[in-house]
Amino acid sequence: MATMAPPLRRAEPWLVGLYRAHHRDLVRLATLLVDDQGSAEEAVQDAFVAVARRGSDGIEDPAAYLRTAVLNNARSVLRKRRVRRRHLRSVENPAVAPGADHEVLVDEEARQVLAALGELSERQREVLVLRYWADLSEIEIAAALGISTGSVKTHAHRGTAALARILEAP
Amino acid sequence: MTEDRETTERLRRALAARAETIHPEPDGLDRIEEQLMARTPLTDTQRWTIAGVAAVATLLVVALFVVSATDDDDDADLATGTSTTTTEPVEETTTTTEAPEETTTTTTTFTPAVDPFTVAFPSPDGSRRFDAPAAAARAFATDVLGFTELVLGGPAPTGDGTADVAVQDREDGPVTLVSLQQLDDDAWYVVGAATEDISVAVPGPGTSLASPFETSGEALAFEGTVEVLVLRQDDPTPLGQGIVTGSGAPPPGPFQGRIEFMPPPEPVAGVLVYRVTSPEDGRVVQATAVRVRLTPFTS
Repeated sequence: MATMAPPLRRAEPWLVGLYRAHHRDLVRLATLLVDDQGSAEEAVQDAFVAVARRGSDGIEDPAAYLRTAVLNNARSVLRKRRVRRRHLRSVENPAVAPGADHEVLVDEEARQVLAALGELSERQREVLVLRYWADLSEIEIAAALGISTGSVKTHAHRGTAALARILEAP
Repeated sequence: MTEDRETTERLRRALAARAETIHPEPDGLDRIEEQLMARTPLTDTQRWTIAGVAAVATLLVVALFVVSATDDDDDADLATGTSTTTTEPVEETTTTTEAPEETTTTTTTFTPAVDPFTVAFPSPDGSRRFDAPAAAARAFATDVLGFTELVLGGPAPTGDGTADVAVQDREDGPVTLVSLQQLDDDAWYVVGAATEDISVAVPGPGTSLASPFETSGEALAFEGTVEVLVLRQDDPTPLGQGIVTGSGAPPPGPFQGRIEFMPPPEPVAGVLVYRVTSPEDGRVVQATAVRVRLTPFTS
Protein backbone atom coordinates (compact mmCIF):
# COMPACT_ATOMS: atom_id res chain seq x y z
CA MET A 1 0.00 0.00 0.00
CA ALA A 2 1.30 3.46 -0.85
CA THR A 3 2.46 5.73 1.94
CA MET A 4 0.16 8.68 2.43
CA ALA A 5 1.60 12.18 2.14
CA PRO A 6 2.94 13.60 5.42
CA PRO A 7 0.76 16.10 7.25
CA LEU A 8 1.03 19.58 5.85
CA ARG A 9 1.57 22.79 7.71
CA ARG A 10 1.61 26.53 7.43
CA ALA A 11 4.98 28.14 6.88
CA GLU A 12 6.97 27.76 10.05
CA PRO A 13 9.40 30.43 11.30
CA TRP A 14 12.44 28.71 9.81
CA LEU A 15 10.74 28.64 6.41
CA VAL A 16 9.72 32.28 6.69
CA GLY A 17 13.35 33.13 7.48
CA LEU A 18 14.50 31.16 4.48
CA TYR A 19 11.92 32.89 2.32
CA ARG A 20 13.01 36.36 3.42
CA ALA A 21 16.65 35.55 2.86
CA HIS A 22 16.42 33.92 -0.55
CA HIS A 23 13.08 34.40 -2.25
CA ARG A 24 13.87 37.51 -4.24
CA ASP A 25 17.19 36.23 -5.55
CA LEU A 26 15.69 32.88 -6.46
CA VAL A 27 12.89 34.55 -8.42
CA ARG A 28 15.50 36.60 -10.22
CA LEU A 29 17.62 33.54 -10.92
CA ALA A 30 14.64 31.60 -12.28
CA THR A 31 13.49 34.56 -14.36
CA LEU A 32 16.94 34.92 -15.89
CA LEU A 33 16.72 31.28 -16.92
CA VAL A 34 13.13 31.02 -18.16
CA ASP A 35 12.59 34.66 -19.18
CA ASP A 36 9.08 34.71 -17.80
CA GLN A 37 8.50 35.99 -14.29
CA GLY A 38 5.17 34.21 -13.80
CA SER A 39 6.67 30.80 -14.52
CA ALA A 40 9.73 31.72 -12.47
CA GLU A 41 7.64 32.61 -9.41
CA GLU A 42 5.80 29.30 -9.66
CA ALA A 43 9.09 27.43 -9.94
CA VAL A 44 10.35 29.14 -6.81
CA GLN A 45 7.12 28.58 -4.88
CA ASP A 46 7.21 24.89 -5.74
CA ALA A 47 10.78 24.74 -4.47
CA PHE A 48 9.79 26.33 -1.14
CA VAL A 49 6.86 23.95 -0.81
CA ALA A 50 9.20 21.02 -1.41
CA VAL A 51 11.56 22.32 1.27
CA ALA A 52 8.69 22.86 3.70
CA ARG A 53 7.42 19.33 3.18
CA ARG A 54 10.84 17.89 3.91
CA GLY A 55 11.12 19.92 7.11
CA SER A 56 14.00 21.86 8.63
CA ASP A 57 15.73 18.71 9.88
CA GLY A 58 15.59 16.89 6.57
CA ILE A 59 17.92 19.14 4.60
CA GLU A 60 21.54 19.84 5.40
CA ASP A 61 21.85 23.08 3.42
CA PRO A 62 18.38 24.51 2.72
CA ALA A 63 19.69 27.38 0.58
CA ALA A 64 21.61 25.03 -1.72
CA TYR A 65 18.64 22.66 -1.81
CA LEU A 66 16.34 25.52 -2.78
CA ARG A 67 18.69 26.65 -5.52
CA THR A 68 18.91 23.19 -7.00
CA ALA A 69 15.14 22.76 -6.77
CA VAL A 70 14.63 26.08 -8.54
CA LEU A 71 17.08 25.09 -11.28
CA ASN A 72 15.27 21.78 -11.75
CA ASN A 73 11.89 23.50 -11.84
CA ALA A 74 13.18 26.10 -14.30
CA ARG A 75 14.44 23.31 -16.51
CA SER A 76 11.03 21.71 -16.32
CA VAL A 77 9.41 24.98 -17.41
CA LEU A 78 11.71 25.14 -20.43
CA ARG A 79 11.10 21.50 -21.28
CA LYS A 80 7.35 21.98 -21.19
CA ARG A 81 7.74 25.06 -23.35
CA ARG A 82 9.75 23.09 -25.91
CA VAL A 83 7.15 20.34 -25.97
CA ARG A 84 4.36 22.80 -26.50
CA ARG A 85 6.24 24.57 -29.26
CA ARG A 86 6.92 21.32 -30.99
CA HIS A 87 3.50 19.79 -30.72
CA LEU A 88 1.48 22.88 -31.32
CA ARG A 89 3.47 23.99 -34.31
CA SER A 90 0.51 23.56 -36.60
CA VAL A 91 -2.21 24.15 -34.02
CA GLU A 92 -2.53 27.85 -33.57
CA ASN A 93 -1.61 28.81 -30.02
CA PRO A 94 -0.03 32.16 -29.31
CA ALA A 95 0.29 31.28 -25.62
CA VAL A 96 3.26 29.06 -26.36
CA ALA A 97 5.71 31.91 -26.75
CA PRO A 98 7.53 33.00 -23.60
CA GLY A 99 6.96 36.54 -22.38
CA ALA A 100 10.16 38.43 -23.01
CA ASP A 101 9.11 41.36 -20.88
CA HIS A 102 12.72 42.48 -20.37
CA GLU A 103 12.78 43.92 -23.85
CA VAL A 104 11.30 47.19 -22.73
CA LEU A 105 13.08 47.33 -19.38
CA VAL A 106 16.78 47.14 -20.15
CA ASP A 107 19.04 49.12 -22.48
CA GLU A 108 20.04 48.08 -25.99
CA GLU A 109 23.40 46.68 -24.93
CA ALA A 110 21.88 44.46 -22.23
CA ARG A 111 19.08 43.44 -24.58
CA GLN A 112 21.63 42.23 -27.15
CA VAL A 113 23.59 40.26 -24.59
CA LEU A 114 20.46 38.69 -23.12
CA ALA A 115 19.21 37.77 -26.58
CA ALA A 116 22.56 36.13 -27.30
CA LEU A 117 22.40 34.31 -23.98
CA GLY A 118 19.01 32.95 -25.04
CA GLU A 119 20.63 31.28 -28.03
CA LEU A 120 22.96 29.16 -25.92
CA SER A 121 22.19 25.66 -24.77
CA GLU A 122 20.21 25.31 -21.57
CA ARG A 123 23.23 24.02 -19.64
CA GLN A 124 25.55 26.76 -20.88
CA ARG A 125 22.98 29.37 -19.94
CA GLU A 126 22.60 27.89 -16.45
CA VAL A 127 26.35 27.84 -15.87
CA LEU A 128 26.86 31.41 -17.08
CA VAL A 129 23.95 32.79 -15.06
CA LEU A 130 25.10 31.02 -11.92
CA ARG A 131 28.67 32.20 -12.48
CA TYR A 132 28.17 35.77 -13.61
CA TRP A 133 24.97 36.72 -11.87
CA ALA A 134 24.83 34.53 -8.75
CA ASP A 135 28.64 34.65 -8.39
CA LEU A 136 28.87 30.98 -7.50
CA SER A 137 32.18 29.15 -7.60
CA GLU A 138 32.77 26.26 -9.99
CA ILE A 139 32.32 23.85 -7.10
CA GLU A 140 29.03 25.44 -6.07
CA ILE A 141 27.77 25.43 -9.65
CA ALA A 142 28.75 21.79 -10.05
CA ALA A 143 26.87 20.91 -6.87
CA ALA A 144 23.81 22.91 -7.89
CA LEU A 145 23.61 21.33 -11.32
CA GLY A 146 24.74 17.86 -10.31
CA ILE A 147 27.65 17.83 -12.75
CA SER A 148 31.43 17.75 -12.41
CA THR A 149 33.56 20.88 -12.07
CA GLY A 150 35.19 19.84 -15.35
CA SER A 151 31.81 20.03 -17.05
CA VAL A 152 31.21 23.42 -15.46
CA LYS A 153 34.48 24.69 -16.95
CA THR A 154 33.62 23.24 -20.34
CA HIS A 155 30.14 24.72 -20.41
CA ALA A 156 31.43 28.08 -19.22
CA HIS A 157 34.19 28.16 -21.80
CA ARG A 158 32.02 27.09 -24.70
CA GLY A 159 29.13 29.25 -23.58
CA THR A 160 31.29 32.36 -23.36
CA ALA A 161 32.91 31.64 -26.71
CA ALA A 162 29.50 31.16 -28.32
CA LEU A 163 28.24 34.33 -26.70
CA ALA A 164 31.19 36.29 -28.05
CA ARG A 165 30.63 34.88 -31.53
CA ILE A 166 26.95 35.78 -31.50
CA LEU A 167 27.64 39.29 -30.23
CA GLU A 168 30.35 39.88 -32.82
CA ALA A 169 28.21 38.65 -35.70
CA PRO A 170 26.97 41.52 -37.89
CA MET B 1 37.58 30.36 -15.48
CA THR B 2 39.54 32.17 -18.15
CA GLU B 3 36.85 33.16 -20.59
CA ASP B 4 36.94 36.25 -22.73
CA ARG B 5 36.95 39.00 -20.11
CA GLU B 6 35.15 41.60 -22.17
CA THR B 7 32.33 39.22 -23.01
CA THR B 8 31.92 38.07 -19.44
CA GLU B 9 31.86 41.64 -18.19
CA ARG B 10 29.18 42.53 -20.71
CA LEU B 11 27.26 39.46 -19.60
CA ARG B 12 27.65 40.35 -15.94
CA ARG B 13 26.33 43.88 -16.55
CA ALA B 14 23.42 42.67 -18.65
CA LEU B 15 22.38 40.07 -16.10
CA ALA B 16 22.60 42.59 -13.28
CA ALA B 17 20.56 45.12 -15.26
CA ARG B 18 17.92 42.53 -16.06
CA ALA B 19 17.80 41.23 -12.49
CA GLU B 20 17.19 44.74 -11.19
CA THR B 21 13.99 44.88 -13.22
CA ILE B 22 12.62 41.75 -11.57
CA HIS B 23 10.48 42.43 -8.51
CA PRO B 24 8.80 39.35 -7.07
CA GLU B 25 5.10 39.53 -6.32
CA PRO B 26 4.54 40.47 -2.68
CA ASP B 27 2.18 37.55 -2.02
CA GLY B 28 4.76 34.83 -2.64
CA LEU B 29 4.71 33.56 0.93
CA ASP B 30 0.89 33.53 0.97
CA ARG B 31 0.89 31.41 -2.16
CA ILE B 32 3.40 29.01 -0.68
CA GLU B 33 1.24 28.73 2.44
CA GLU B 34 -1.82 28.13 0.29
CA GLN B 35 -0.04 25.25 -1.38
CA LEU B 36 1.04 23.90 1.97
CA MET B 37 -2.48 24.08 3.36
CA ALA B 38 -4.01 22.52 0.29
CA ARG B 39 -4.43 18.78 0.22
CA THR B 40 -1.64 16.95 -1.46
CA PRO B 41 -3.01 15.45 -4.67
CA LEU B 42 -3.50 11.75 -4.24
CA THR B 43 -1.48 9.42 -6.37
CA ASP B 44 -3.29 6.95 -8.57
CA THR B 45 -2.40 4.14 -6.22
CA GLN B 46 -3.93 6.04 -3.32
CA ARG B 47 -7.04 6.85 -5.32
CA TRP B 48 -7.52 3.25 -6.34
CA THR B 49 -6.94 2.07 -2.78
CA ILE B 50 -9.58 4.43 -1.45
CA ALA B 51 -11.97 3.50 -4.28
CA GLY B 52 -11.37 -0.18 -3.59
CA VAL B 53 -12.06 0.15 0.14
CA ALA B 54 -15.19 2.19 -0.58
CA ALA B 55 -16.40 -0.37 -3.11
CA VAL B 56 -15.86 -3.27 -0.71
CA ALA B 57 -17.68 -1.41 2.06
CA THR B 58 -20.59 -0.64 -0.25
CA LEU B 59 -20.81 -4.25 -1.39
CA LEU B 60 -20.86 -5.44 2.22
CA VAL B 61 -23.69 -3.09 3.10
CA VAL B 62 -25.69 -4.10 0.01
CA ALA B 63 -25.04 -7.79 0.66
CA LEU B 64 -26.27 -7.51 4.23
CA PHE B 65 -29.37 -5.70 3.08
CA VAL B 66 -30.10 -8.28 0.37
CA VAL B 67 -29.70 -11.13 2.84
CA SER B 68 -32.16 -9.42 5.11
CA ALA B 69 -34.65 -8.83 2.28
CA THR B 70 -34.27 -12.40 1.00
CA ASP B 71 -35.12 -13.74 4.43
CA ASP B 72 -38.41 -11.82 4.28
CA ASP B 73 -39.15 -13.15 0.79
CA ASP B 74 -38.48 -16.70 1.89
CA ASP B 75 -41.27 -16.37 4.42
CA ALA B 76 -43.66 -15.19 1.71
CA ASP B 77 -42.67 -17.96 -0.66
CA LEU B 78 -43.26 -20.56 1.96
CA ALA B 79 -46.70 -19.16 2.60
CA THR B 80 -47.77 -19.44 -1.04
CA GLY B 81 -45.83 -22.57 -1.79
CA THR B 82 -44.20 -21.06 -4.91
CA SER B 83 -40.61 -20.65 -5.88
CA THR B 84 -39.80 -17.23 -7.28
CA THR B 85 -36.78 -15.17 -8.05
CA THR B 86 -36.60 -11.81 -6.37
CA THR B 87 -36.93 -9.12 -8.98
CA GLU B 88 -38.07 -6.23 -6.87
CA PRO B 89 -35.69 -3.33 -6.36
CA VAL B 90 -34.03 -3.66 -3.00
CA GLU B 91 -34.35 -0.02 -2.07
CA GLU B 92 -37.16 0.37 0.43
CA THR B 93 -37.57 4.02 -0.38
CA THR B 94 -38.69 3.34 -3.97
CA THR B 95 -42.24 4.61 -4.31
CA THR B 96 -42.76 4.45 -8.05
CA THR B 97 -44.76 1.55 -9.40
CA GLU B 98 -42.92 1.56 -12.68
CA ALA B 99 -40.02 -0.74 -13.31
CA PRO B 100 -36.73 0.89 -12.40
CA GLU B 101 -34.89 2.26 -15.33
CA GLU B 102 -32.12 0.11 -16.59
CA THR B 103 -28.68 1.65 -16.73
CA THR B 104 -27.81 1.96 -20.35
CA THR B 105 -24.80 3.18 -22.20
CA THR B 106 -25.72 5.47 -25.01
CA THR B 107 -23.41 6.22 -27.83
CA THR B 108 -24.05 9.48 -29.57
CA THR B 109 -22.90 10.01 -33.07
CA PHE B 110 -20.96 13.23 -33.23
CA THR B 111 -20.33 15.34 -36.22
CA PRO B 112 -16.62 16.03 -35.92
CA ALA B 113 -16.03 19.66 -34.98
CA VAL B 114 -12.32 19.02 -34.85
CA ASP B 115 -9.96 18.14 -37.65
CA PRO B 116 -8.67 14.65 -36.80
CA PHE B 117 -5.26 15.47 -38.20
CA THR B 118 -4.64 18.22 -35.64
CA VAL B 119 -4.88 15.90 -32.65
CA ALA B 120 -3.41 12.62 -31.51
CA PHE B 121 -6.22 11.37 -29.29
CA PRO B 122 -9.15 10.71 -29.05
CA SER B 123 -10.40 10.39 -32.58
CA PRO B 124 -12.81 13.27 -33.29
CA ASP B 125 -14.70 10.82 -35.54
CA GLY B 126 -15.45 8.58 -32.58
CA SER B 127 -17.70 9.06 -29.58
CA ARG B 128 -15.09 9.38 -26.85
CA ARG B 129 -14.88 12.83 -25.35
CA PHE B 130 -13.07 14.12 -22.29
CA ASP B 131 -14.19 17.15 -20.36
CA ALA B 132 -11.03 17.24 -18.25
CA PRO B 133 -7.39 17.16 -19.37
CA ALA B 134 -6.38 14.61 -16.74
CA ALA B 135 -9.00 12.14 -17.95
CA ALA B 136 -7.83 12.49 -21.53
CA ALA B 137 -4.19 12.11 -20.48
CA ARG B 138 -4.98 9.01 -18.44
CA ALA B 139 -6.85 7.35 -21.30
CA PHE B 140 -4.11 8.25 -23.76
CA ALA B 141 -1.38 6.92 -21.47
CA THR B 142 -3.07 3.58 -20.98
CA ASP B 143 -4.84 3.04 -24.32
CA VAL B 144 -2.25 4.49 -26.69
CA LEU B 145 1.12 4.68 -24.95
CA GLY B 146 0.57 1.38 -23.17
CA PHE B 147 1.23 2.36 -19.56
CA THR B 148 0.02 -0.29 -17.16
CA GLU B 149 0.95 1.62 -14.00
CA LEU B 150 0.21 5.30 -13.70
CA VAL B 151 1.04 8.18 -11.46
CA LEU B 152 -0.75 11.16 -12.90
CA GLY B 153 0.23 14.71 -12.06
CA GLY B 154 -2.34 17.47 -11.80
CA PRO B 155 -2.96 19.30 -15.05
CA ALA B 156 -0.69 22.30 -15.42
CA PRO B 157 -2.36 25.03 -17.47
CA THR B 158 0.03 26.30 -20.12
CA GLY B 159 -2.18 28.87 -21.71
CA ASP B 160 -5.76 29.52 -22.68
CA GLY B 161 -7.29 26.10 -23.24
CA THR B 162 -4.01 24.22 -23.13
CA ALA B 163 -2.50 22.08 -20.41
CA ASP B 164 0.21 19.56 -19.71
CA VAL B 165 -0.26 16.47 -17.60
CA ALA B 166 2.77 14.63 -16.27
CA VAL B 167 2.56 10.86 -16.45
CA GLN B 168 4.91 8.48 -14.67
CA ASP B 169 4.95 4.73 -14.20
CA ARG B 170 5.88 5.33 -10.58
CA GLU B 171 6.48 8.36 -8.41
CA ASP B 172 10.22 8.43 -9.02
CA GLY B 173 9.94 7.35 -12.64
CA PRO B 174 10.77 9.48 -15.68
CA VAL B 175 8.15 12.03 -16.65
CA THR B 176 6.20 11.73 -19.85
CA LEU B 177 4.55 15.04 -20.50
CA VAL B 178 1.18 14.74 -22.23
CA SER B 179 0.19 17.98 -23.97
CA LEU B 180 -3.49 18.73 -24.33
CA GLN B 181 -5.70 21.31 -25.89
CA GLN B 182 -9.36 22.14 -25.50
CA LEU B 183 -10.80 22.52 -28.97
CA ASP B 184 -13.94 23.83 -30.61
CA ASP B 185 -16.25 21.21 -29.15
CA ASP B 186 -15.01 22.10 -25.62
CA ALA B 187 -13.54 18.64 -25.23
CA TRP B 188 -9.89 18.01 -24.36
CA TYR B 189 -7.61 16.37 -26.90
CA VAL B 190 -4.08 15.10 -26.65
CA VAL B 191 -1.84 16.81 -29.19
CA GLY B 192 1.33 14.96 -28.31
CA ALA B 193 3.54 13.56 -25.62
CA ALA B 194 7.22 13.87 -24.93
CA THR B 195 9.83 12.70 -22.54
CA GLU B 196 13.26 14.15 -22.02
CA ASP B 197 14.94 10.87 -22.95
CA ILE B 198 13.25 10.36 -26.33
CA SER B 199 13.43 13.21 -28.78
CA VAL B 200 12.05 12.57 -32.25
CA ALA B 201 13.48 14.80 -34.96
CA VAL B 202 11.91 13.04 -37.96
CA PRO B 203 9.04 12.77 -38.67
CA GLY B 204 7.63 15.96 -37.20
CA PRO B 205 4.04 16.41 -36.03
CA GLY B 206 1.52 16.35 -38.86
CA THR B 207 3.84 14.67 -41.37
CA SER B 208 2.24 12.47 -44.06
CA LEU B 209 3.85 9.06 -43.97
CA ALA B 210 4.03 6.28 -46.49
CA SER B 211 5.34 2.85 -45.61
CA PRO B 212 8.20 2.40 -44.93
CA PHE B 213 9.34 5.70 -43.44
CA GLU B 214 12.59 6.91 -41.97
CA THR B 215 12.76 8.12 -38.41
CA SER B 216 15.56 9.72 -36.45
CA GLY B 217 16.18 11.50 -33.20
CA GLU B 218 17.94 11.02 -29.90
CA ALA B 219 17.18 8.61 -27.12
CA LEU B 220 18.46 7.35 -23.82
CA ALA B 221 17.11 3.96 -22.81
CA PHE B 222 18.10 0.66 -21.30
CA GLU B 223 20.52 -0.80 -23.85
CA GLY B 224 19.43 2.10 -26.04
CA THR B 225 16.33 0.24 -27.15
CA VAL B 226 13.26 2.23 -28.10
CA GLU B 227 10.13 0.52 -29.38
CA VAL B 228 8.28 2.31 -32.18
CA LEU B 229 4.57 1.71 -32.80
CA VAL B 230 2.50 2.98 -35.71
CA LEU B 231 -1.14 3.36 -34.68
CA ARG B 232 -4.28 4.60 -36.31
CA GLN B 233 -5.89 7.30 -34.21
CA ASP B 234 -9.06 5.25 -33.92
CA ASP B 235 -7.56 1.82 -33.31
CA PRO B 236 -5.05 0.69 -30.65
CA THR B 237 -3.88 -2.25 -32.76
CA PRO B 238 -0.53 -1.30 -34.31
CA LEU B 239 -0.33 -1.13 -38.08
CA GLY B 240 3.40 -1.58 -37.72
CA GLN B 241 6.20 -1.57 -35.23
CA GLY B 242 9.94 -1.64 -35.01
CA ILE B 243 12.95 -0.93 -32.84
CA VAL B 244 15.42 1.93 -32.96
CA THR B 245 18.58 2.14 -30.89
CA GLY B 246 19.80 5.26 -29.15
CA SER B 247 22.21 5.41 -26.25
CA GLY B 248 22.30 3.13 -23.23
CA ALA B 249 24.11 5.68 -21.06
CA PRO B 250 23.82 9.47 -20.71
CA PRO B 251 23.68 11.63 -22.68
CA PRO B 252 20.95 10.59 -25.14
CA GLY B 253 22.46 9.27 -28.38
CA PRO B 254 21.22 9.54 -31.95
CA PHE B 255 18.96 6.90 -33.44
CA GLN B 256 17.90 6.27 -36.99
CA GLY B 257 15.60 3.62 -38.36
CA ARG B 258 13.15 2.55 -41.00
CA ILE B 259 9.69 1.49 -39.91
CA GLU B 260 7.14 -0.37 -42.02
CA PHE B 261 3.41 -0.35 -41.48
CA MET B 262 0.36 -1.81 -43.14
CA PRO B 263 -0.98 1.00 -45.35
CA PRO B 264 -4.54 2.01 -44.52
CA PRO B 265 -7.05 2.00 -47.42
CA GLU B 266 -7.29 5.79 -47.27
CA PRO B 267 -5.35 8.57 -45.49
CA VAL B 268 -6.05 8.44 -41.79
CA ALA B 269 -4.89 10.27 -38.70
CA GLY B 270 -2.30 8.28 -36.82
CA VAL B 271 0.13 8.36 -33.94
CA LEU B 272 3.73 7.23 -33.68
CA VAL B 273 4.62 6.01 -30.22
CA TYR B 274 8.28 5.79 -29.20
CA ARG B 275 8.47 4.04 -25.87
CA VAL B 276 10.90 2.58 -23.42
CA THR B 277 10.01 -0.43 -21.33
CA SER B 278 11.41 -1.61 -18.04
CA PRO B 279 13.98 -4.41 -18.23
CA GLU B 280 12.49 -5.74 -14.98
CA ASP B 281 8.95 -6.50 -16.05
CA GLY B 282 8.39 -4.97 -19.47
CA ARG B 283 6.07 -2.21 -18.30
CA VAL B 284 6.16 1.05 -20.23
CA VAL B 285 8.17 3.65 -18.32
CA GLN B 286 8.22 6.61 -20.70
CA ALA B 287 7.08 7.50 -24.18
CA THR B 288 7.05 10.18 -26.80
CA ALA B 289 4.13 10.39 -29.21
CA VAL B 290 3.90 12.24 -32.51
CA ARG B 291 0.67 12.74 -34.42
CA VAL B 292 0.99 11.97 -38.13
CA ARG B 293 -1.04 11.27 -41.25
CA LEU B 294 -0.82 7.69 -42.48
CA THR B 295 -1.29 7.35 -46.22
CA PRO B 296 -2.11 4.29 -48.36
CA PHE B 297 0.95 4.85 -50.51
CA THR B 298 4.20 2.96 -50.31
CA SER B 299 7.57 4.58 -50.60
